[in-house]
This record gives sequence, C-alpha cells and structure tokens, in this order.
Amino acid sequence: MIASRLNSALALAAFAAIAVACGTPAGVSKEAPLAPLEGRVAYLPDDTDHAARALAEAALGTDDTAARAQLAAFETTERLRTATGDPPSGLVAYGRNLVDSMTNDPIVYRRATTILLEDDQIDPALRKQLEMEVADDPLLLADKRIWEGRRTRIARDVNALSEALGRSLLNFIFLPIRVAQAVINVAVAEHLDDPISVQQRQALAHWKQYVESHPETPEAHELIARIDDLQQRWFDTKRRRSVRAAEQALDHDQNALALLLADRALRYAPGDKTATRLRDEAAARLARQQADLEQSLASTSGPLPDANNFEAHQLMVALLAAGDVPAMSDALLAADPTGPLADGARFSHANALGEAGQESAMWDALAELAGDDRATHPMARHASALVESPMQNPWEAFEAAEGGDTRKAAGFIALGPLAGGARDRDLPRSVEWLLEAPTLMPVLGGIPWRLVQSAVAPPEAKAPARAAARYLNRYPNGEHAAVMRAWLVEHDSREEHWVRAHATASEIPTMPSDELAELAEKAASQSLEQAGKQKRRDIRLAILQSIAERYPGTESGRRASDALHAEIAEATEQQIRISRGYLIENPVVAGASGLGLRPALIDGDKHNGELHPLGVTLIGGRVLEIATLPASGDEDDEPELVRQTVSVERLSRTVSLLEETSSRNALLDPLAEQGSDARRDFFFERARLGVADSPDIRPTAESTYAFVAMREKYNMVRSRESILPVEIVISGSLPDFGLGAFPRLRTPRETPDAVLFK
Amino acid sequence: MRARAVLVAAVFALGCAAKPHPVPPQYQPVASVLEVVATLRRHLPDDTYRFQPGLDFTGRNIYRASLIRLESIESVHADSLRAGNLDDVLAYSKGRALERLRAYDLAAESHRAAAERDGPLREEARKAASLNEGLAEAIQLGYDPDRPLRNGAQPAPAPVDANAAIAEYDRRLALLDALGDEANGTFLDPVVKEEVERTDVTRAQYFVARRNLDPDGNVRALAELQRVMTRHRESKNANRHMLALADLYAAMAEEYVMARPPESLLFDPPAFQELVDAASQLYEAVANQDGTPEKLEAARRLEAFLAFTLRVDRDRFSPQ
Repeated sequence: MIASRLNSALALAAFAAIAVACGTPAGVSKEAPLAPLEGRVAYLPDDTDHAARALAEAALGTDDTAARAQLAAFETTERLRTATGDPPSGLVAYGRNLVDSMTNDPIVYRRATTILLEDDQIDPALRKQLEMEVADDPLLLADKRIWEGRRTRIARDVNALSEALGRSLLNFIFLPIRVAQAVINVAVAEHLDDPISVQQRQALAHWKQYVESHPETPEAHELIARIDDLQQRWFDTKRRRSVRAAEQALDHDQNALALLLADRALRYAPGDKTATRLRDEAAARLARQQADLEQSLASTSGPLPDANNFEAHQLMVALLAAGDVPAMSDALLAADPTGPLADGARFSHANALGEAGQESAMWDALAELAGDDRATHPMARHASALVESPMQNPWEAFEAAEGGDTRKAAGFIALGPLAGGARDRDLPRSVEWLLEAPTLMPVLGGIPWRLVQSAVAPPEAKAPARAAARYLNRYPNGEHAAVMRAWLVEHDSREEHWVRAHATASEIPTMPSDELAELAEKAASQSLEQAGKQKRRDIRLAILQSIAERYPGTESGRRASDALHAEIAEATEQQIRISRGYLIENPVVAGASGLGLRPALIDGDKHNGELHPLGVTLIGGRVLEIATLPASGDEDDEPELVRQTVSVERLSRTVSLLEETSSRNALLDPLAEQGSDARRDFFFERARLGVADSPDIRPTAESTYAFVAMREKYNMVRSRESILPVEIVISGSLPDFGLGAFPRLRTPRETPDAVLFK
Repeated sequence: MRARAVLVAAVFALGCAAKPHPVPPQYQPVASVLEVVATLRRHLPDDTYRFQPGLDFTGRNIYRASLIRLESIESVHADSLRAGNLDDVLAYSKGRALERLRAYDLAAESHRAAAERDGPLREEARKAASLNEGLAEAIQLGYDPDRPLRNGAQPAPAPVDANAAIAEYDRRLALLDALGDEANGTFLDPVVKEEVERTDVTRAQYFVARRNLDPDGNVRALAELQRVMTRHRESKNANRHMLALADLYAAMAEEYVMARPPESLLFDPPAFQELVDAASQLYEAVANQDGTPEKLEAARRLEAFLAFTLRVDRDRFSPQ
C-alpha cells in the first residue's frame, strides 16, 4: 500500500515535471550570450616558426638566391618536424609560392606556379588561388576567347537547324518550310555578323597587352601578324557600322548625321566607294537644304503689297499695340478678299480668337489656312508650322498620339513582329520582305493570341500622356484642360501611377471626395512601398516624412509617420548581420577565436537558449545585438534582443575571421561568395584598426549587409551549371501550333569584361 | 555657217549648264511685311522663361528669323518703304524681336525710333524702350565673363572678394526686380525673368569657377547651383540646371579619386559614395524626363559617370 502510494507520488511528480517541461518549450538563458574573451597564452616559437620568419625576411628583400636558401632551410625543418611525428605545418607550399613571387616576369612566375601546383599537399584554398593566377595568362585567355567566339557562332547555326527539325517532330508538313527558314536565318545572321566578334576583340586586347609587356619573346613576334589581321578587321567593322548608320540616316533625311557618319567611315577606310558616295550625297542634300533655308529668309523682289496699304498698316498697328485685331483684319479682308494680304488678315484674325480664349476656333481657322496651296498662299506654311507643333498645339499632338497608338496596336494585332515592316537585315528591301515570306502564315495565325494579349495588357499610352501633361502645363485653364485632367487621372490609375493620378485629380474641382481619398490612400501606399526599397536612411526618412505630410488623412500616411518616428528612435550606425545559419556553417566565427558565442546558443537545443535565425548584428561602435529565441521558442516570433559591448580585440578578431572565412569559402566554392559592400568593408577596416568607437553617422557609412548561410541563400537545392555541352529544350509555339523537343548546344557565357568591348 | 555653229554651241552650252535648284514653295522668300509681323506677333506673348521659344516653319528661332526677314524687306524694298508708312511698324517689330535675342541696346534704339512716329504704337514703344534700357544697364552689372563687351571696353578681371561679387549680383537682381514690376503684364515679363535666371546662373558659375581657391569652395559652389535649381524650377532650363549640379558632383567625384586614390588610406568611402549618389540621382532624374533632349544627354552622362566608378575597387565603392 505504502509502496503503491510512493509509486503514485513518483508518477505524479514525473507527470508534473513533464507538464512543466512541455509548458515552457524554450529556455531563455539568463547567462550572457557571449563567453568571456579567452586570453592568449604566451606562445613559444618553435623551429618551424623561426625558419618561416627567416624565409619571410629573405623574401621581402631583393636577393632571390638568399630566399631560395632560406626556403631550402625551411623545407629541411619541415622534414625534421614530420620525422619526429609532428603534423605538417602546411606552410611549405606557401613558402615556395612566396619565393616564386619574387620574380618580376609574369611568365616565369606562371611557369613556377604550374610546377608548384603538381604538389598534392597544397591547401585547397591556396590551390584555387594559384590556379586562378596561372589562368590569368594573356595568351591562354586570348586562345580561350577565340575558341568561345567560334563556339558561339557554331552553336547559333547548329541550334537554328536543330530547332527547325525538332519542332517538326509532331507535324512533318511544316518541316521543309522550317528548315528552309532556318537556313535563310543562318545565312542572314552570317551576313549581319561583324568582321570581328566581341570575343576576338577581347583576344586582340590580350595579345596587345602581351606584346607590350613581353616585346622580345618569340610569341610576341608571332603575334604581330595576328594582331594586324584582327586590327584590320576591327577597322573594317567600324567602317561597316558607320556606313550602315549613314545609309539609315540618309533614309530618314538626317543629312547632317549621315555626313558625319560617312566621314567617320572614311577615316577608317580612306577612299571607300560606298562611304564616299554617301558623304557626297549627304553633302549635296545639306547644301540644297541650306540654300532653301537662306531663300526663306530673303524677301521677294516683286512689289511689296503692304508698303502703302492703309488697312494693312492699321492691322499691324492693332496687332502690336493691342488694338482691335478682328475688326482690322476684317477690314483688310473686305478691302481685297483675294489679294496678297488676305491670308495675313486671316492668320491674324485666327490668333486674335485664340487670345480671346476661343482655342478651338483659332486652331480650326489655322488648320484651314494651313491646307491652302503653299505656292500661292505663303501664310499657309506659318499656319502649318503652328498646327503641327506639339509645343504650340499639344491638343492636336494628343489626338494624333492617340490615333497613332491605335494604329500601332491594330498593326501589332494584324502583323505582329512585321507591323513595322520587314526586319532590317542590311539587304535590299525587296529581299528583306522576301525573307519574311515564310513567317507570314505563323504571323497571321498569331492574331487571336495577340488580340488576347492586347486586351489583357495593352501597352502604355506614353505619347498621349506626354502630350496631355504638356497641354496642362501650357494651358492649365485651356478649353480642353478638364478633358485632359480626366484622361490623365484615368491613364495614371490604369498604369498604377498613383502619386501622379492623385496630384492631377486634386486639381479637378468636381472630383468626388471619396474617389480623391481613395487615390490619396493608394498614392501614400505606393510611396510607402518605395520608401521601403530605399537603402539610404536619410532618403528613406525624407520620403517617409513627405508621405506623412502629403497624405495626412490616410492609413498609409499614418503608417509612414509611425515608421518615421520608429526609425529615428531605433536608428543604429550599422546593421551588419551574421545569421544563425552562417554561424552554424562557420563555427570558427562563432567560437572562442571570434565572437565567443556561448556554444549552447547554437547547439539546436531550445531549452538551454538558442540563437534566433536573425543571429548577431553589428550595430556600430563596439556594440553587438544578439537575437535569441523568445520564450515561445517560435522562430517566427519577435526575438529577444540583447545588446552587448565587446572589447576592441574581440571586435577586431570577429571581423578579421568573418572576412577570412568568407574569402576562403568563396575560393573553395564560387557560390559561397559574399557580395561586395564597401560600407561593410569600411566599418571592418575601422574595427580592425580599433577606431570603430567613434561613430560614423553619415548615411553613406551605414551597411545593411548580411552574412548568410549557403542554405539560406540557395535553400535546399543549389543550382549548379551543367557540365554537359548540350541541353534538351522542349518548345511550343501558339502562332504556328508547333511543338517539339530538340538538343541545343550551350553557348559560352560572356566574361564580365565583355561590356567593355561593346 | 559659222553663226549657226556658234548658235548650236550656245544652245548646247545653255542646255548643259546646271539647272538652278528650284526653291520648294515652302521656302519661298517672304512676300509682305504683314506675313512677318503677324507671325512674330503670334509669339510675342509666349512665356519664353517657361517654354522654349517658338520655331518658324524652317525650324529656326522665330524671333531671329523674323528679324532677318524684316531686315531683308528693308534692304530689298528700300524704295517702296521710303514713304515711311511702315516705319513705326518695322522699327517696333524689330525692337520686339531684338529684345528676345538679348540685344537690349539695339532693341531700345529701335523702340525709340518707333516712338518718333505719332500713333498708337508711340506709348508702347516708349515704355518698351525704357524697359530695354533698364535691361541693358542691368546686365552690365556683376562679373560675367561671357557678356559681350561694349565698344572699347576691356574684359573685367574676376572679383577676388566673393562678398563684393555677391553685392554686385544683388544690385543686378534688385534692378531686375524693379524692372520686373514694371514689365509685369507686358511682352517683356518673361524676358526679365530670363535675365534673373541668367544672373543666378552667372553667380553660380562664378562660385563654381573659384571653388578650388576657397577652403569651402565646393560647398559654396554646390549651394549656389542648388539655389539656381530651387529658384527656377519653372524655367525651361530646369533640366539643364539639374544637369549642371550633377556635373559638378561628378567632377568632384573624379577630383576626389585623383586627390585620394581609392587604394590609399586617405580615401573615405562614405564621402565618395555621397558624391556618386548625388550625381547619379540627379542624372537619373533628368534621364527620366520623357520627351526632352536633356533625357538623352543625362542618360549618356550617367552611363559615362558609372563607367568612371568602375575604376574604384569594389571594397572602396559598391554600386547600390
């Protein structure tokens, strides 16, 4: 019985204990998150250290024989060390590389490094670095670029044919057409290719660099001819481009530009017949234009009709002295309705209507005048210039732009990519159209799809919007101002330009207040979103303040105001975060040599306290903000934040280890590369020097960089580039109902510096 | 026989002679004074401070084209005009064209000539002459190296004392303000505003030019260009003012790199970043202005400026 009671009591106690444990899923540690900094014990240098020091000292000098002697001594010490059972120091390869690097000749250095790489014992990070240095050989790089250029071209041609065949697998009817089209496209692409490719230009730069730095080597002598050849091709490319651009400029009547481009072509190829012809043609056209312009400034030698005309004088005085222009112009017209001054009277009358506020009447009258024969009605050209000027007549420009957009949309639906005509292929226009013939059927077949596309996402009416804005700017109280404002509000709302829509709507007196309030809410919300994307604190704060002031009655305006106050209250000098994942992946940073984080915080056991996924943030000065899981143990909840000031030494060690670890990780795995951030590096530099205490509150000194783990960056699956040269593509096409699968050759990626060659 | 040969040769020579290029109707010479005056008058109320000046049918500045056409008429039809019926109209119109071309002295002269004739134009011409004289006097004040020299005048040296220079610019502005009140509601209203803007720009350029001589020269130059930008937001040149400020930030960034190479310990990344941010934001703001020629200019300059930043190591400057 007693035993039974005892058992019951124990069971109860155990149950209670379990219940308590289950009720508090996570323990919030009362201990400081960082362990005390471990002091560094005095270190007694051994023979390896002494030998390494002697080697470094010799290598910093200029006597490479002495350095090699020290290297030999170091290698002897290393052999003795391993003979006595001590682990290898791992410094031998570094020592050899140090001595190899004493040479001034990059070729000798790369050869020596190639030999060094044959050693299997090299530290992987050092190996990677040395491999990169060996690969940085201008000749190797040039050969690689030449090969890439060839491969890109072959891949393009092969892929075109492969696609044509592959897409006809389910339907052989179109096979001959597709293959023929692919062959034509390949031929056209070859025709359009520049005489020199981007990759060849990169190779040319490498060769030039090599010849300049090693002019006496046998390779340099061999390269001269290749450089000359490529240089000639480069000039030919420039000539060809200039000639082509000059032809296009002439087609568009841009004669001055055509002359400039033709002259440029002639600088690359003096005497070039096409360029000479273009230059002469452009020069002749310009001369004719100049003569025409000069004529237009002259006066006719015939009689001057208004020299002694009383009514004309009265009209001109009225025009210049704010007189009764309509009456005077009517008088002149009445005196000689078909005479040489009648048009001047009509023109003056029309403008007087405009000044009296009758905008439409003015433009109608001017348009009528502009339609007259210019040979017999000189005022027609002046009226026409006004009517057609988008600056003077923005309403007409608006209507024309709307019409243009409609025509463009109709053209796109009907003809798709051919709406603007046959594609430019530097061939006679008739041939270009002929080459488009096989695409006509698929283009027509795509009409339903383009109809749907245009209905769902019509292109933005940019030109009408510009004209409408110009109208309101010029004539804020004009006859069409109300229509323009309403159109702009609708357009900007459709395009979700809420700030502009609200600003325009605010100028409409009859705008319903609820609609205006809705626009204000959307404008404030959009601005708030923009503020969130702004990285610089000062600009972000300015945007928030502006939102709070401009949209005070809106929910987003209030949120902006709250965000503004919160940000000012919680602003820190820095926001450099080291995530929990990163610290787990790189324990050396978290450990005693670095941050000195208590191991319990990253052991995965929530009961003894655990770091929040946010991890540790360097918030400026020597202060760290450590985020731990809250009592709930839920990672999605707000973390418990503890700020701790660390010693100069600990901060210095931490940032050094962070940089060292990240750099090593990046060498071993390019996907682990942590992006560049000069602000972070600047803070780290100050931290290493022990001067991070004095805060740098400039907004441009703040970094929001985050060191994150590979898993956080790439989730569970890291995309790796396939090493296979071919990929299988499954392709479908709505316009011509094509479906198929085909192999496609991968094209080499352009190098980052390719942008400098375009 | 010989005569026939000569005749044949003459006909042949005439046939072979290059035909003169026929003038298209669009470019025929002007046929009347009214044609020019009516067109010019159409553009006299134009607010050329806010909007680009109008263009004629050849694409030329309307005021310049009108002036040249009026002078052509005077020259070709001197006999017809000798009676003097159109003297007031011609003189007054030329004055109106000249004042839009900043030739205030000549404009005043033309207006005075127009005022010599009785008629409704006399009062207008007198007022315009007075305003133009005031403008001609005002633009002579203050250091302005780009100002055309009056006959016999020597270029003035740049003032050493910045405060003295400002005082002179202030005098010019005060005079222009007074003229602005007088010109309010007349065709000269935008012209006075243009002169105020030009004065502000000239003053800013003075400080930009001397920024390397003063300890706080860069700050002052920036402040002056910002002042121009703020005071003339409505101007047709607003984009140009932004470009000028962006150019100064860009120039300062380049000078900074020259003076403190990025690899040196003197290089301060946040300071450089500030210059880059400011220049880029201003260039971007102008490059986003659809339908303006400055858009292309700004886009290309931004591209060139960002290419310059490639020279700076990534650990010293990272594009945002």
